[in-house]
Amino acid sequence: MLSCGLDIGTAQTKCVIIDGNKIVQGRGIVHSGANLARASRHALKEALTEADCEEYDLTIVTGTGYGRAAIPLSHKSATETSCHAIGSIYRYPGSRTILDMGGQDMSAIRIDETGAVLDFAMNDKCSAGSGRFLEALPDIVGMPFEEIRTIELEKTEPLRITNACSVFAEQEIINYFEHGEMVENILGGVFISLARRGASLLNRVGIEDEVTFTGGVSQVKGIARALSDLIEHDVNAGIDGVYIGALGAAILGLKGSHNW
Amino acid sequence: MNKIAMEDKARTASRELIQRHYLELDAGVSGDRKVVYLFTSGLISELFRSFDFIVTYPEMTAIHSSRRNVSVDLIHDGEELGYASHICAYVKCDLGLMAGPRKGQTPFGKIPPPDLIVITHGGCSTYIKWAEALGNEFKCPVKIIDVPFVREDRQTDFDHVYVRGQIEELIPVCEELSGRKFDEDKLKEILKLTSETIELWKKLLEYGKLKPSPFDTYFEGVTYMAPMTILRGTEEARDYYQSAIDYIWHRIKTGYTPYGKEDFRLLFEGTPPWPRIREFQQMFSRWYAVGVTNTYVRTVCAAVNLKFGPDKPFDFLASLASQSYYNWNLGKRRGFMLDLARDYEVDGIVIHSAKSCRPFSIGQLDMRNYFAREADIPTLYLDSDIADPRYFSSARMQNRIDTFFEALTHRKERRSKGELKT
Repeated sequence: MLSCGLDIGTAQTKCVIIDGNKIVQGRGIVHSGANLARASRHALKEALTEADCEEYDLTIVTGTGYGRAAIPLSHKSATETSCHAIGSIYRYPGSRTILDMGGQDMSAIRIDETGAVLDFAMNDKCSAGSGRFLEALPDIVGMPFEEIRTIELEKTEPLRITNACSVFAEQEIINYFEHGEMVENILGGVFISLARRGASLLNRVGIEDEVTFTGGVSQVKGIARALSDLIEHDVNAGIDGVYIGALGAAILGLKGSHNW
Repeated sequence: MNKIAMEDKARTASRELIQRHYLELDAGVSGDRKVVYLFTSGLISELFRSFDFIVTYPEMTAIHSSRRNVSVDLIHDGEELGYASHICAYVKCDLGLMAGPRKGQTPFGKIPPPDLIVITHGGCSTYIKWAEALGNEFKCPVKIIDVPFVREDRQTDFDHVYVRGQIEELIPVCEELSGRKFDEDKLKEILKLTSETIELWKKLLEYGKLKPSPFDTYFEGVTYMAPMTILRGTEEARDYYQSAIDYIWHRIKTGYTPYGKEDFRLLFEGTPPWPRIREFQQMFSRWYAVGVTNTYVRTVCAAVNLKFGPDKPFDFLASLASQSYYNWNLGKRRGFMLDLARDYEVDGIVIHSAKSCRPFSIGQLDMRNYFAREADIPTLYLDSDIADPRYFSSARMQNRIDTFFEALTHRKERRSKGELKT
């Protein structure tokens, strides 16, 4: 049996295929763009290639993310909050609090030992501090995302980024450049500024160990470190954090009882 | 269950009454009748009806404009007058309409300029500046009844006397403007109608306790509420609520529920996003979630038992002026909501916070945290706006609501398996 989870976010579309034992067989990730159906096909194709199987081998496809209603492929769907909860409890079984930072949304989620959502809070309509800002960052600072992702916070002398608004924060960064500040120190400040928004949301639902950081932004080591420092808790985070929602959707597909 | 929607007679009748109110305003002011603008929180329209004033309400016009999807144009007009984006959307709607290029002309009729503006200052500090701006525009007197904040569990006797005195001071103002002498018997008659109307309105809202609830006291209740504001103190208002009760009884007898079945019972807090209310409602109805009770419609005379009756007209008016839920301390509001949650056996609470209404929205996040963490009642916090559709993001709103119901579904499943006590 193969179960596929498709997480169609505003920035990226992720696909994870698992077998009946919840072992990951294949993954795919593409930019969502304007055509969500096409993005989901491309992400699925990548995952199918890695899993070395065909679409007809899939028993069930579960959609999540903003575009979940737009994909004709899925048999059922659930919100990304529920999927990140299920994905997190599988990946890090001790998870009780989750911060999901995606392209446009940021959610703090408190879960129980089964992965059920007990409480959640999301950012308001403004997307400042989410992945959208991070997407623009390589162009602003002239450094590829892969390099930004691996910068270690403790090796920087973070500058203060005070603006909550992405547009004004960009202006603030440019001002720092004009004053000859080093890009790593500017980025250190950006990491702290973004992590602060996440920490504030986490405090709203109440922090309980273990804390798991998911979503595209969680791949940035500096932000994960800043978050850990701010909330004074260890944080589970890793390069696969971007796939947790899709993984959760795939696991949900294996469960017959939740017909969300 | 009856899944076929029956004609909502109470809604139709309410809409006809609202329509008639605006048609009468549009027809113009005849004779020597004067126009008074009143604000809905702590309303005391009966006093002005006794002097035969034409009574109208800037907030109701803003709401009606929002429901007719013209609020955003009026808000733009208001912003062109210099009012910033964070200022109350009702204010910008109203000032955009009255002081902007439209000069009071709405799609549903022309609003006459005021001869007098009276506000009951209880809970909404914006009222004062709003009334002053209107007063400056139309060069008419503005009278303010200052209602002290309810600091403890109830209003003090001292505060009551203070409010009553201010209302009594309005008599010579009304006499001079209207050219009529104060008639206490007439006021008592009007207040008697109000008292009867309030009892019927409260009785109507109580039907939300039934399982399933015969109507959605939030999404349907906001329409049923309109005559309570616009026409309070008239026979039409009283008769409307009697008919509404008869109609809801018909629903009860036929086993009707608003969405075909009732999977979730909710308590709503906050003013709805008027321009997108239908869409907002559908986000809940697709989960078969019914607003069995709420604080918003209860703010109109159904939140407290008034201490006085029509036989003591100025005490009664002072009670009406002072009963505003918006003027309560946060602990009292929270306690009131907890009582409602218990009495109406709700599965969860939904708080809709308004971006441009800070006086009322402040503290709602604390409420959310209290209900979710301390009281163990699942609570959803949403934010958009009361009249400005630019703050409403459908995808985000739907996402939050769906997440909430997914969690509630799981909670119900666990409860049915005996894994949860409450």
